[in-house]
Amino acid sequence: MNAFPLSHAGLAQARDGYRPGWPDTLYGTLTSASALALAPALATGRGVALRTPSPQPSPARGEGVKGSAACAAGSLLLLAALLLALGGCASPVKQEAAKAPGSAATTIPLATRPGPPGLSDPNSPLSKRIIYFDYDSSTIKPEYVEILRAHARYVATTPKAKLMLEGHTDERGTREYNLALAEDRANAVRRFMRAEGAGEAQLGLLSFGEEKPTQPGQGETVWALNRRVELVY
Amino acid sequence: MTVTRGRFVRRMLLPLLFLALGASGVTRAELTIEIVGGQEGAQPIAVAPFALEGGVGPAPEDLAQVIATDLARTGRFKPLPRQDMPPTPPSVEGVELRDWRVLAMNNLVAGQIKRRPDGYYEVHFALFDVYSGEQLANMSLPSSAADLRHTAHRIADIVYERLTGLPGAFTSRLAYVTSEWGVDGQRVTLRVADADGHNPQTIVASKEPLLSPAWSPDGRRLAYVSFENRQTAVFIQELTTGRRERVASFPGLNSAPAWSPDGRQLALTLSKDGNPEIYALDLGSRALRRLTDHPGIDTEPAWSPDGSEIYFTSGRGGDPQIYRMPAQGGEATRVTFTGDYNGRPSLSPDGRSLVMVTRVNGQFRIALMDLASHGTRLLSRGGLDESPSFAPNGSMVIYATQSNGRGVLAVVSTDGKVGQRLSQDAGEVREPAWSPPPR
Repeated sequence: MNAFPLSHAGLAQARDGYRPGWPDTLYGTLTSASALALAPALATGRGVALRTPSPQPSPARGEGVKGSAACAAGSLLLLAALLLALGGCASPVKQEAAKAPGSAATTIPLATRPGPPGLSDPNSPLSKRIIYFDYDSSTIKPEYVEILRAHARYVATTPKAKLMLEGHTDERGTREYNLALAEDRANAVRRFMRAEGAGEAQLGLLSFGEEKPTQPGQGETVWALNRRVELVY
Repeated sequence: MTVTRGRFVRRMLLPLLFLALGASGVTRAELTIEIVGGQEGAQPIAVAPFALEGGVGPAPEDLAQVIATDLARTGRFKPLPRQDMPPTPPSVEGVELRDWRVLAMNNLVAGQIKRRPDGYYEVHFALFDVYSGEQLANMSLPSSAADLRHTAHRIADIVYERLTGLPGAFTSRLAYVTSEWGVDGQRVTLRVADADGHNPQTIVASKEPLLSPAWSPDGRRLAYVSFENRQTAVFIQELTTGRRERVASFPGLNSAPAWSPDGRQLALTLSKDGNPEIYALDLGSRALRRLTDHPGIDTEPAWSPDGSEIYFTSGRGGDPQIYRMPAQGGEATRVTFTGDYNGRPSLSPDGRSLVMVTRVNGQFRIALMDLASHGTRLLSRGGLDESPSFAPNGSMVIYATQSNGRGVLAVVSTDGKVGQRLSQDAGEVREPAWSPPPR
């Protein structure tokens, strides 16, 4: 029992040097550099919304912002503007950039991927593309049944639609077990959608285990947001 | 790093993954060692500086420092600080043992380095019992300039073995995964370093996760899981050439590789047949044999050192627990019963115990379990400790933990008394795997 004394004072804090896909600005703190990047975008009058994370799992807020895929999928104008300003983003966003008339600002059209209509309509269940799970559980919770049913119906009636189900866990537990658990979660969603009529070939499965948290730090609020399956068209 | 970032970004935008420059992929970020824990009962030993014989200026490598640090890390030895030492003996023959007796040293290591005309070095050292005057070792090791540090580790192995009766583990190596976030996203690397954290070399770099490095029994290859192309696959990579082969990329999970002790098979977790199950891949014939068949999760296989059994984590009983089964597959027997989370087993080299991740009061810690008595001892005190791996001599366990909210590696002696922390100045370090003994 005489293990050496390790310091774990930092356990409750966000991890140093930890930068998942979310830029700092999404947490409400604008650095001077990112504020500069944001200003022209605001000037164009396009719908820039500064979203701060809610303490409860809110499926809509994670839309299109996922780890390293953010470059291709950033659906928030703010994010796109930021990434362009940082010069770190690949062509899909840059190609669509245009000079706004009468200003030096560069506007970036909202990056979209082919997906169901209603994707950006907050009143449509299709706009919700993340569902959350209890700890060490792959059981689909009742509150997500309507969302999954809507997506299954869309996929079933749209032969061209392809949907990738990406499973994730929180950081607790061993990495390989979490890889299997995340796979189980994605599999549970696939079974549900198959039963609701989605075609086998239309559904892809991917497990990231605990490797791609959307939220840094620790604590139940953070962990709850990381235990998820993302529906990616 | 700032200088090279532009080129790095451009390179990363082309393929999702690139192979680092193989053997020449020397990485600057070394692991820094910090020894934690008491040294009670540690034997006093002096490692006198190794002089360069007939040479001008200092020796090209401070061998004595490397040896002393190796010995200190085990917790069994307490090396004399250099400033407390009498003048350096001019040669092994010129040692005055009474100078060291006065300082209450049990043992003394003295040596010298001679430069040969062919550019090689000859490292001559002796290990003394200070009281009896007996020489417990006296030998000469040829070494290239680049290998001098390695030669010092060899000497530490010999000293440790002569004084404890157990083989040293100082010439073994570590494999581990690092992760850093930059403006261009995540950069994950798989690295191999000396057991003291020096000489790190990147063997794979990726923008996507890498995990579960596993050493082949001959220490020449690593199997690992890569998410490149956003799909798990198991690769086997030859360390000296950088050449690699994708050995499993079935639909679904391809993960948790574990070499059989004879190096002929790879146990791994696949979900191609519906849910995560353990399979054995024959590396010669490429025949795949399914070993488990249960709707629950089965993963994290680990071979017993004699190759007869496979230990693994299974969720079949509700909570994750460790089970074992014959290596050919068959009925599984539950091994762990205490607590609601026991996983990621790894067997000691003598096959008598295993280390695992266990949850105690909501904290994930490393525990050592005696397989005969089922007695369990906690080895770590963190909250998210994981990925334990035995040193090749079974005396220590390396694992991943957090320090000030950052992923670092920690080493603890199997008696739990002494530990070290290995960290990098930036980014996370995780997924350690200690190499088998060098051959």
